[in-house]
Amino acid sequence: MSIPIIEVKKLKKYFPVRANILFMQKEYIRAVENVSFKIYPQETVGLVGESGCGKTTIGRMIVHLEQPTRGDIYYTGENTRRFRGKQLKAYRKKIQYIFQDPYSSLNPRKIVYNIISMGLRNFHIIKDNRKRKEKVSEILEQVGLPPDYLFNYPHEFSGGQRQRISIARTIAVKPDLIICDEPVSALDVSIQAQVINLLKELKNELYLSILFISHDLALVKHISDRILVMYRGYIVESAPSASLFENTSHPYTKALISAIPEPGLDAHKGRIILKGDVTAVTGEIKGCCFEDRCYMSRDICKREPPLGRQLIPGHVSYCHFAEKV
Amino acid sequence: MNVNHELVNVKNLTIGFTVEELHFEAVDSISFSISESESVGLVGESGCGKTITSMALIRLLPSPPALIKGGNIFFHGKNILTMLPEDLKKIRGREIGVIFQEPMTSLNPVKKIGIQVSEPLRIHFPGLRKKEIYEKTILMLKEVGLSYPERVYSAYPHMLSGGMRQRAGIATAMICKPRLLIADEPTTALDVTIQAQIMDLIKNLKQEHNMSLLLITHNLGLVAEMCKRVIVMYAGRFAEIASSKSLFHSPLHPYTEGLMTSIPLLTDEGCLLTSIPGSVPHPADYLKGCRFMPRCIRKIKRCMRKIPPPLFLIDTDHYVSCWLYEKQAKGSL
Repeated sequence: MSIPIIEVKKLKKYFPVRANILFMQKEYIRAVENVSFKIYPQETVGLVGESGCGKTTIGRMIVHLEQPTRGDIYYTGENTRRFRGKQLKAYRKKIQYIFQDPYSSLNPRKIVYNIISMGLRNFHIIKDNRKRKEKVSEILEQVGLPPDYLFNYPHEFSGGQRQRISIARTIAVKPDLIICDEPVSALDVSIQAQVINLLKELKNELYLSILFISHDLALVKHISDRILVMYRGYIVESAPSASLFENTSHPYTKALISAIPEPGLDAHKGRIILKGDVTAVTGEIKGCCFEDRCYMSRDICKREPPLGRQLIPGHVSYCHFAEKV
Repeated sequence: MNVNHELVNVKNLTIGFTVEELHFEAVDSISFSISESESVGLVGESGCGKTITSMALIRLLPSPPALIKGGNIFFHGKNILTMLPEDLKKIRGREIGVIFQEPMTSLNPVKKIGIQVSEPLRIHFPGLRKKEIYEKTILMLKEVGLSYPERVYSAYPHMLSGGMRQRAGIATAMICKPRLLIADEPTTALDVTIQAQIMDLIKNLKQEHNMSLLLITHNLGLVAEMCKRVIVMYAGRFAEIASSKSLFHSPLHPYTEGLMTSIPLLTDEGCLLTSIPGSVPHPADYLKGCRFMPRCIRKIKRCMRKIPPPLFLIDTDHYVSCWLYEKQAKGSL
């Protein structure tokens, strides 16, 4: 097997919330706990979970927008923690990020040409002005926008078009991996499909890897080769797309799948309604992270953290009772 | 449809907006009705006029900029549009309850949850004693599934999670046992597992109290689960009205079809999604004729005409506003 583009090893991120000055004790929100995974070339990995489960934090740590508390990120085998200067710049060129909200992620005072050519100039990819302009028009066409939009400002575009501009900006610098953080959740239903199709086409054309972060399981299934399900900072299940739905082996994934309303007629049979809410925990979780909402929890779930077990090759579940789900 | 049991009847409702001297009609001559204990879904993308329609039902639209240009809204035989403010007050919160979209912004941040939830009681039943109001509120909070009602009663909105806040919102809408519940995107701000909880709750409450429900959403899946009848809205007009069974079995309007094929389903394989080209028009650019025509892949010559297609009756209770079906129509609305 080839070397993974990104390998994440035992990644942790704690955000301090309150410091007890008298005793110098700090409390932390444990946003990401011991997360490990790999992304191979030309693979699309989906990262699913509810809001606040730490999926965006992982994405931000990979592009060095956030420093991990513990754990390491390897880029083609090299530890990125020690990347500085030129090396860091080269790394940033290879890993690009598409943000959730196309309304706030584009600079309103810059024209489309400047937004897209920024990467080309910054990384000294094309130095000649005329050639750069040609290249930008070419990229615009690639994402399905007419090249005469070069000198328009972001506010003149609709949400879907803006997201196309963000995509154009990322593919301009020829990255290895694009991290898409909920790229369509701010868009209308009829526009979402356009953007998703574009991402899929570009992925095949440019041999990209994609880390697709979303809360929409159906969408993630549609685009991903492999899916990681997160809950409260932990990965609870990781499996190839099809296997996750066929051989679901974590109660949280099962509840999540059953909660998706489908526009069919008999789709809502056998829905699992979870009790309670996701709560932010500051203290350490002793047992399983899902124990308090789980419909299958037993005594052991409170005491011991479940270890990852592979029931089927490539399908890992973090549940004490994975066989019975 | 039995006329006797009709709760809401909207006829030729047209709502205009004036924004910066720009004049446009956001809702254009729509008619529909809701029978007693019926659940109706209103589906459409953002900006198509679904929230405006629902707010017009209880006259909550700020005027200006909004102006109701024509039509009537009958609630139980009484015309809401010509009603005096005092009479309107008696209906709001008492006969018609509303669950608003964002639980974060629809609650008052400086008032305790209990005070807000019990407000409709204090207004509509001035004879009730304080203790009775408190007891009724606690009971309601329990009914919407809040596990520590006494603690929630004296909590402020920021102390609750999104799901709990939405439950409080539902409690406020439900406390006077209204006959019609308008739920305006009740779960868009929430996570999927919480969404399942809330929808389950609304469904149970609806059955228990025999209410009518108008569910406004952009999620076709939710509508399929919750509603008997579905109205699909596009650019201020109705595109299709049908029972949810026949809508999901045989969508007729090209827009409805496009919507259904553009959502990835758990059951399908990873091929490309069929998307609708173009984007939703701005109300100022609305066409006189069929408004979906520029994005439609099945358009014919007739579609270019400057007359809007009427709602053709195709099957029992299945109406579609599209010229393609003119010849098979058994009648029109």
